Amino acid sequence: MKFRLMEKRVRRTANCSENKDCISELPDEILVCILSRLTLREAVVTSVLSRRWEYLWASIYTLDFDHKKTSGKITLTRSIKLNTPELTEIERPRYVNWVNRVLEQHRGPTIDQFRVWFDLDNGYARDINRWIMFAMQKRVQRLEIHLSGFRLSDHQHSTRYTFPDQLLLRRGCFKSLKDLTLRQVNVSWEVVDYFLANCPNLERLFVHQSNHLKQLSVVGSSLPLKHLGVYFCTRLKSIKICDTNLVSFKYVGPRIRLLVNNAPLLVDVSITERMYSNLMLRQFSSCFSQLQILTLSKEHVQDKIKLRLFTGLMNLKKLVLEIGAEDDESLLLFTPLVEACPYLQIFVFKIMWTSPLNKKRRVIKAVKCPHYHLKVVEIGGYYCGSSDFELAMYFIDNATILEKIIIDPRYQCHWHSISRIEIKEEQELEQTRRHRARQQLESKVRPRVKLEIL
Amino acid sequence: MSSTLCCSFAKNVTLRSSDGQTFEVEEAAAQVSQTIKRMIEDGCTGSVIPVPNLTGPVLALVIEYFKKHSPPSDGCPTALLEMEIKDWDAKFVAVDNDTLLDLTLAAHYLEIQGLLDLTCHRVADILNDNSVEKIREIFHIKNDFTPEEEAEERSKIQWAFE
Repeated sequence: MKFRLMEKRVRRTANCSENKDCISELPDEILVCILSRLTLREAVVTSVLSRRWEYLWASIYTLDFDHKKTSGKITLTRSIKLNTPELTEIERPRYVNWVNRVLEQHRGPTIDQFRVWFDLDNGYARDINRWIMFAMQKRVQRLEIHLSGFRLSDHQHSTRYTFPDQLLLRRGCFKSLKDLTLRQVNVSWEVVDYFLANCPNLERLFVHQSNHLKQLSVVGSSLPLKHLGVYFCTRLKSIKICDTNLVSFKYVGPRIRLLVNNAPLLVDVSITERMYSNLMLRQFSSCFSQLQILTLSKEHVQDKIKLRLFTGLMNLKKLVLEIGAEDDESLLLFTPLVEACPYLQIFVFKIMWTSPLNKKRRVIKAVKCPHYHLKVVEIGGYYCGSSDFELAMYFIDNATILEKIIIDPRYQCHWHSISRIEIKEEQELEQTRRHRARQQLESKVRPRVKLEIL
Repeated sequence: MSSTLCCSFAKNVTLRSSDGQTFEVEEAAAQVSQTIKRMIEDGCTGSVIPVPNLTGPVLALVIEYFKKHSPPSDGCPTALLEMEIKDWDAKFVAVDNDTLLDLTLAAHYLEIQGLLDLTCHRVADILNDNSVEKIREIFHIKNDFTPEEEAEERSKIQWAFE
């Protein structure tokens, strides 16, 4: 028993020495492990090294067909517009051919990760179906089908690829699946239900932009699902989360009916858009006491959050607010939210200015309201106006054990929503704001507080 | 004082390399290796545990890794500690290629998943950053294709560049 180590096949008696081809002597399984960490293109290229390497790449267990990593030429750039001949007649067939060639040559018995990312529509349904089938047969653990391009304009609803439910009729498929992400893939609740009920290892599920999804229910303590994300499913009407082991839940999209009941492990919740009306908050209030991380996003500051409803967030350690703002209006109205979380340690406030105005108005002196646990405060979209300055001062004055205040003067919205010229102007403005922010705050923070300007 | 007291309670095991060097290490630390863990569970702790696939210098490095990655005594690794270990790991594998490959093989023999991930990743980085010719040179890989065969191999993978 003592000599069990000896039983392992010893390939080398001496350790690696100079000028010896030690790498080729490594066992296949290690080399495959190394090659699985390369981009697909680089992995294929190793077949030219020597005979030893000729077929090794074909056993890799990570197949990541991210158009940015797979090949030197296939890339979707801003210049390739949706449905231009360049995309439909050249780039799409080229990408599909690339995936098909790799799958034809793959020899490994299993794969861990299978990821597709290219702008493809339903015209390629037969190929995509085959790829999913391939992944299923190779007992994939992480599957991601991402069919969107880079533009805001997505495929027409009619041309979007639909996840084939006939695939799921086969018994025992997707038993190994742990992580499923579907982006810009139409998937119905029946298919989602199938995955939840039949994948005993499925811990992560993310659905983006499915127009077929009208309802979603995660019900039952036997479900292994821990992380759920639902994004921009325009026809979704309701989500039900009951008696589950869910740890995190993220929702972005239109207002829906949401029922959360008996989710004792749920600690990380993120909700965006018009969702946290009174109604929404009441739906969540049953699990407020256990929440540790809460992210709220809102486009318009005018639709004021019903602040009074936030009580009893006794375990909350991190609060993230992403708020749209304009006209230098006071942001101090959000401070009661922070006051509702007595044990908060990290507070992140991202301000998305639509029309910031630097009019000279009097800075409101913050009320005295000590926070005894707050250690880190981050303010994103810092504009050096009265509104964000008074917000920063509120925390400098009130957070008694503050360790760090992070000021991020960069634009907080997505770059694609503004033009190139605006981006350039914005970057110049950032520099000015950095300088101004330092002037404003440096003398105000206490000596042991670190002021970090990004 | 309290720390010596604590250490005197920790159980040690002795590991012996292929060239006969012996190393004493805490049992809990050595169990980062699944292979050694099984041997300890099978009752091999009374005597010296032979590690015949590793020479002294390599085993010494592996033991350094054990010590850094042994479970913390208070049970719960903090985010700060994790960050520190990550930095340490990056430095640990910033070694010459021969040592890197020795460590890779050691991690494989001793079933140390964390170290195997780390070393494979590092080797992959080297492969990713270099051309075929350069990779052959770095790792002393002998090209045993004839020029015609190599040309054919290259044409076979031409699709990868289209």
